[in-house]
Amino acid sequence: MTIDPRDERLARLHARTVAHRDELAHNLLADGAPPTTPPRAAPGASGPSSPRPGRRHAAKGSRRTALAVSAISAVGLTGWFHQTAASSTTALDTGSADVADLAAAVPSTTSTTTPSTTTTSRSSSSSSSGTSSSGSARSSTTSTTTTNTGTSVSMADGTYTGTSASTRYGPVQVQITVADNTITDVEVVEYPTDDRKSASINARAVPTLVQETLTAQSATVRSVSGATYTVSGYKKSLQSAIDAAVAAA
Amino acid sequence: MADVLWFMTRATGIVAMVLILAALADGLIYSGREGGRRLRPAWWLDLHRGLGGYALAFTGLHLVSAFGADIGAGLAQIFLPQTSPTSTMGFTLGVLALYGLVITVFTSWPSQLFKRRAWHVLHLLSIPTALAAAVHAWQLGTDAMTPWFMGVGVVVVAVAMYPVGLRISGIARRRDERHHGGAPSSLAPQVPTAPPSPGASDDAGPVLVGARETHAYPSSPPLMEEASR
Repeated sequence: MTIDPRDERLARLHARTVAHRDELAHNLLADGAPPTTPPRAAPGASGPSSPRPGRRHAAKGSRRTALAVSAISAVGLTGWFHQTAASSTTALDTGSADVADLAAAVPSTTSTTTPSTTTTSRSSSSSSSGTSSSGSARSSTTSTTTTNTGTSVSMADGTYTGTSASTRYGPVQVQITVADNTITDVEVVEYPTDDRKSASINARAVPTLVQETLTAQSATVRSVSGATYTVSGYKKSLQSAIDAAVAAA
Repeated sequence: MADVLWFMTRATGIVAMVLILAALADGLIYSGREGGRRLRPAWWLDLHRGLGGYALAFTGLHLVSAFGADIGAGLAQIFLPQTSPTSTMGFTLGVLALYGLVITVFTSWPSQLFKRRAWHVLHLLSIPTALAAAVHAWQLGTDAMTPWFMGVGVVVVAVAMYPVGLRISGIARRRDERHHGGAPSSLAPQVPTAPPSPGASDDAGPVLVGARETHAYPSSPPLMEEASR
């Protein structure tokens, strides 16, 4: 005997409605309350429906569990991201400080590049692709004024290009211009450009890093969220350029 | 503070994504007919509603924290598609997913204001909404390429796709049965069918052990019998 699909569907809907109503009645009976059948408005009827007396959620405990797990997960992930970003910044700052102290202690007459005129143009990523840690870059709000904080070591005037630092998505290389023991210009001469998604990240990350370098006058710059790999390579290359300037002095 | 908001944006986005897929999977399992006999359908429905509401709440938190985290997501980028200068498609899909989620959730609460067919059409928006949210997370998510996120994504998507696979196989099986007069399809899962008893009435309908159609309508469904035991 073949079954009309419409009849089958109606029977299934009827069964589901009856089961749901019986479940509610069963819950009410379990609590000792008299079973009540709330009035049910017709579909499409206008006007507010009367509130169901003693409505209970069949999955009350499961819903609470799901909400608790979601909230705890959100808080836990937030803390984990914060800790990860803080630890990566601390590790890079510690490494850069050690290298700076070593460069200051060992005098050297070598110079990686010949002195050139100070360039005033600031490097900024174009609309071309660039690869970094995935996600949109978040530009931190930093001051636009350049202050000379005074480095602990003296740097020779000139333009110095740091070593190319390899990152997960490609190399990063930084070039600095020093005048009167002050970093006057920073240019990111090389960064990964293989992924279109990185364009949005580097569009915010690179100018932010450059600005913070000019402000801090060192490789101690704050990590830019969403551009962890670019920041890591930037710091390494910048530190090597500073080391070269110190060595030249 | 902006850093914390940025981290919260990522966290709430991940949680909202998981809740959306979980609600979708729950709804598909609840409304499907190929999952076998199901106990306590009210529990599935109530959980489905709860997950949908929580997904909407965490999506709201995601938007609020993104607005305050200074990532280039202003009010225009949050509520208007094709307004972001960078990652336009990613932001657009997020906006569309937001609207789809709002429509799906808010048309389900006053269920008596809509006719069933109209409500069903609106509720089907949940599927493209989930897809748009997933692509949005993949394109803009900072953690999209991390191993742990990809592992969680694979698991959640697999859970959500399981009822879809059941539905597709069930549809194919029923189509073949209609065409061939009840002959099982090779693509359909082999469901053992109980032979009709000699005293069974012709109005009893098919009896498929393990499938949802275990009741002979218009009598009461077996779920009622399960609850009364």
